Amino acid sequence: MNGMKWLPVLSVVLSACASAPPASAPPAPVVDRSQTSAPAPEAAAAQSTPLTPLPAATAAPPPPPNPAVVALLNQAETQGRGGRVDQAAATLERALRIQPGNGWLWHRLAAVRLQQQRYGEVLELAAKSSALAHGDEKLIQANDDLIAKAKAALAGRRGRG
Amino acid sequence: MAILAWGAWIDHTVREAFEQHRWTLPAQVYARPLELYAGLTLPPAALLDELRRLGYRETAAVDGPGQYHATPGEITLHTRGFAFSDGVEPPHRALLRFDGRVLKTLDGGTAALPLLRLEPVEIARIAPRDRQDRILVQLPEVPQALIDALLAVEDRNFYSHGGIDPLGVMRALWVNLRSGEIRQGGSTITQQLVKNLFLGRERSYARKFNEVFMALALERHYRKDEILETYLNSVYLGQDGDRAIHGFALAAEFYFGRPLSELTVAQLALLAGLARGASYYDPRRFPERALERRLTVLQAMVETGRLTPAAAAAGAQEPLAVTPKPLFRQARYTAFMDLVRRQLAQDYREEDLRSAGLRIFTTLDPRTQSAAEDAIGQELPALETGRERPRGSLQAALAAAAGDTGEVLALVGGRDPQYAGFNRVLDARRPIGSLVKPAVYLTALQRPAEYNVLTPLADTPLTWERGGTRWTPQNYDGVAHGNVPLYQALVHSYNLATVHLGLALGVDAIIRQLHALGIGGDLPAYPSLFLGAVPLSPFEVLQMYQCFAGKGFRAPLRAIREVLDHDGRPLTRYGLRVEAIIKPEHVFLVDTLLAEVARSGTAAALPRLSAGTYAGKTGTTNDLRDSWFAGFGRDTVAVAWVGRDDNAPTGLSGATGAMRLWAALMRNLAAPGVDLTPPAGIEWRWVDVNTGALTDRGCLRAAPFPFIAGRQVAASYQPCSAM
Repeated sequence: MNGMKWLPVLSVVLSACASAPPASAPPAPVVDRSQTSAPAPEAAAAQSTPLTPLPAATAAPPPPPNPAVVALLNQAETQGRGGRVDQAAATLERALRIQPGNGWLWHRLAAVRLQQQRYGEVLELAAKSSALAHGDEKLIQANDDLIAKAKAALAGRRGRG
Repeated sequence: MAILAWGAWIDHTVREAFEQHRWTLPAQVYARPLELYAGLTLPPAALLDELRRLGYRETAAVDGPGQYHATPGEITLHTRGFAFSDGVEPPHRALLRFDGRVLKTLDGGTAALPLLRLEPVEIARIAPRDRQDRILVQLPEVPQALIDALLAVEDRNFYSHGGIDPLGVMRALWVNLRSGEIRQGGSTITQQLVKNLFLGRERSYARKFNEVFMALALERHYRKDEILETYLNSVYLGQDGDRAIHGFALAAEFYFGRPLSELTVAQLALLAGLARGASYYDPRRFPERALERRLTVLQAMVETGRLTPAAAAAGAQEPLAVTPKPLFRQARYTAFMDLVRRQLAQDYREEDLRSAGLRIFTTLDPRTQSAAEDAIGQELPALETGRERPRGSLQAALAAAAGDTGEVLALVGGRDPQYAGFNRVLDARRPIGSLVKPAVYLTALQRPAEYNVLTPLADTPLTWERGGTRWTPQNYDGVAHGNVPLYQALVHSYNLATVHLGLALGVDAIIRQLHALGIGGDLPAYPSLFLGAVPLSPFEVLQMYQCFAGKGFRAPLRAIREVLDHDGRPLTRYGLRVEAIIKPEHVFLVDTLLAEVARSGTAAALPRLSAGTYAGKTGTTNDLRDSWFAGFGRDTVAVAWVGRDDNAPTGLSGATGAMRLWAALMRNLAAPGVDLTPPAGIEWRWVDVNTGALTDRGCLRAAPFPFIAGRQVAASYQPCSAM
């Protein structure tokens, strides 16, 4: 619901922490697990047993180029331009079933919802897209644009209502 | 005068009835269509299963729709094509090459074929009240051989007579007089149609009289082709329980599992022969009679010059080749169809569902459904050992959905998936135990000023008292673990630490959290809620865990994609919707902890059982009555429950019971492991695993832990040199 509100906040947070001492990028797992199982004698009192390291983060995967997804994107584009927005949305949903983690597909669906004047859904879909952007500033900007348009349209509706 | 009036009445009745005749058509319910593309994880055997569900025939040369040929690592197929609402998928002939369980390439011959969408499997038909089931067919779609066969045995002069065939009538009269009863109709196709549409099955001379004149009237007003087409769609051709099979198109599916257009002449001859007496010649019950009847029809086709003697002889040599059982039994996908009906009932009247010929496209993935049914079949009997769990005593439910979109992929409502009774996956509400805990820890981690993954929690004994009620929770192992870092309290599912944490957060905050995660209804406002003293169905739990699998976006669980009318026009689309309920960085922390549960925590056996790395949580209720597991991989979220209908203890924990079913499901699917790509707003800090102090990257015993970016972490700092 408030997913879009914190996106600008987030970038502020990110720039703020750029000066913080430890690295903010996801690290490669460098810990030798055999070391963690042997508690060092000089361990401080705060910790009675060694911490199990958490699973290493997977590296942000750029969605692999998938000819099926490309074909569906093109088809959705054609359908959207031809005014067949319902079909375009259905085609994008097909693409999303193949690559649900591809933020650009969520963005395109949000754009179709804007065409359909389903503004509330634009906000949510664009937020989902940005959540999957993994630092793709272009995508985040494109989503922010959609969100601004949808919010303006919603404000206009309220104004008229 | 009276005769004139009667004639006019007959004429009027026939015309009105024929004009206003509306077929009551059942709703057709389809599974998701399978999309084929390079890179898809799909073992060849799974594709062959799908092709068999679609009634494809294995042939040496694939030269027509509905055929395939399989060799090791390759499948050639010729699809039938399908008119989807988002566009027509034309028939394709394609060569598919596999590398192990992955579809490597799609070769469509000349044109590039980036992806190929198969026809959707029909999974159910919601039959009309009169129990007449049919598939409408138009005359140009009907194979000529079927018409030839039908007219050869039923009405050789159909295209020349005026509705009645005097020679036929005389022959019938002669037979009937000799036997002293009405044995033979000698009826034309037109007369039979009159009987099917306007008159009952009763045989009397008065009826016969009406029938003759109605047939004459029908012929006066309508073309032969209209009469024939209506006959082809109306004739009774078989029985499937209480469902009556009407028309040749449905009969083709019912007996051969294939459309009319793909049947051989011998198969069409058999269908034509059934018009005379579908139960007497039933090829499943009386194959000898059916073979004899088929031979009669083939010979009649030779007599009328519609078939060469050689072709007839060849046809007579064919086996009957009827499918052992009707392909679409009503009992299949029982639990899923139950959900479909409930979701449809919100927008459609029962009567429209039963008679308007709606076409309902669902999200069911038959492959996941099979994997889920197999998982129960494989694991449940293995759990039933010894006196504690006699054979057949356990019950189970399993539900799976797509993590990001909320599309329901599979539901199993009990150990017998065909059983149409109590649907445990939707209706069995049982305490969920520790499955609730991620909601408690999420609530804490959403307050980064107060909590992070290393915040020490007190895992110490406590007693809660209010209004004379005393509650003294215990850990599963009966041991209090003292101060434990927050993440380990969840990973090892410590009850005492969780109750302390829940009390600090407030029960109202946890209730609000559960509502945000899609749990409806009143929730008990007691601290026992923190340990899962709340009865929920597996389906409700699935919605909750979908939020974790969907990166903090709730996607309402949907079983239906769209509903079309009989002509293919969209009536309702149930499009993809999501709602942001948890910030991505907060849900990432919880997902990371749930992955740790399935690595070193209560579900540490999962990687070995499932052959994958997933995130999930075990749940066990008092006295081991309910065994739960809920979790997810990159694409699929699933929930498993094992217990007894009489609520007796099973002796199974979440890890020893439900998790085995869950693991078998993911193993059967070869489901991709959990995706832990950190979103923006996550900052990694290096922590000395012995001291819990912050330290530097690369130090001995240092491991990275995720924190909310830009937040102070209340912990001491030790440089490498200090160790």
